[in-house]
Amino acid sequence: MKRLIIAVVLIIFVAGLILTSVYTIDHCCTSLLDTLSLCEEEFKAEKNTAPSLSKLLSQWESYEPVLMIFANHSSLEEIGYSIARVRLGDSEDFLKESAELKERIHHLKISEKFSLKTIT
Amino acid sequence: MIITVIRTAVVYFFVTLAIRLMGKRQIGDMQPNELVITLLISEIAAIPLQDNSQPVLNGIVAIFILVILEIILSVLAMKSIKIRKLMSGNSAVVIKNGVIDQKMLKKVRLTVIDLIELLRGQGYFKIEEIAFAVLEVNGNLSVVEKSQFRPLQTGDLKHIKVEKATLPLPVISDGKIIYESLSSLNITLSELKKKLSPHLPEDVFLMTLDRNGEKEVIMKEKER
Repeated sequence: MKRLIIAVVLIIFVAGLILTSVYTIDHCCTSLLDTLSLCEEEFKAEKNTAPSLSKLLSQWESYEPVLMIFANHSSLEEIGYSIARVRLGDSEDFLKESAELKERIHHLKISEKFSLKTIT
Repeated sequence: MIITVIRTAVVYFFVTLAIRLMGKRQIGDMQPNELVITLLISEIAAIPLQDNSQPVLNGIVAIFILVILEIILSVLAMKSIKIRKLMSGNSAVVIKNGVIDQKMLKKVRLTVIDLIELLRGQGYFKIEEIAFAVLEVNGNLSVVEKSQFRPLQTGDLKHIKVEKATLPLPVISDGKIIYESLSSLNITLSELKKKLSPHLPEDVFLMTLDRNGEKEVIMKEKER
């Protein structure tokens, strides 16, 4: 009976961790993607993208430590490098780098979701 | 480097907790599912130690899932004979009334040489001495000898009075008194000291005592 109670407690703990992980990654990735989309729109409209890019960086700096708990660090490092390239790269490559960054963030977002692709 | 040290300590703590939660069994006595889980836990635990890019939490969650599965399956196996048979299989009687069951040997994929080796490991060198041999699910062989080859036991000598078996408990270990044992044996500290006299508890390496008052004392070695 005691061991069964321990198993139930562990199930609740693990379920809580799973939900926290899925929610955190989803929330962080959605926020980053929204900010990145805003940057792309501003770039296409030939507006000043500096404030949006700063916001993107500060969002990443606040999300990264939390994401490190749940996600593969290599993926997060690649996203970090991509953000740096988007911010500091040439304007000619902006959309290309931005598309790549979007893809990486999207990949991170779906990696924690339950699907046949992620399980197999 | 410090990251590796901390991750190793964290993983070690959780693996120890997991093994503790799963209960006590030696490797040779484990059921097949328990052995699988023990091997898996050791493999999973190594992953976050070898690869710092993997979150430690992934390894810990995987270990907890295995512990949960093992606990649930073991509880189900205790409640249901069918589930126990499904998970652990059945033991097999390979020698019956002194005769080797060759069909059963084939069924359990045990050669006669393997059987002889197992018997030798148990101290039996002649099959004619054996009445029954059972191959357990964990691979151990349990043997019952024929009556005429069984070692003589005190129960066979009916006119001899035999004292009831008691369990000696350690009451002093490395100079420290184990109060739990004293309360199990219903002995006070002063009674213990009386039994130990003229020695002091601090000078004792090991002292065991049973309900009949039989004691065994090993003193600490004097430092040269």
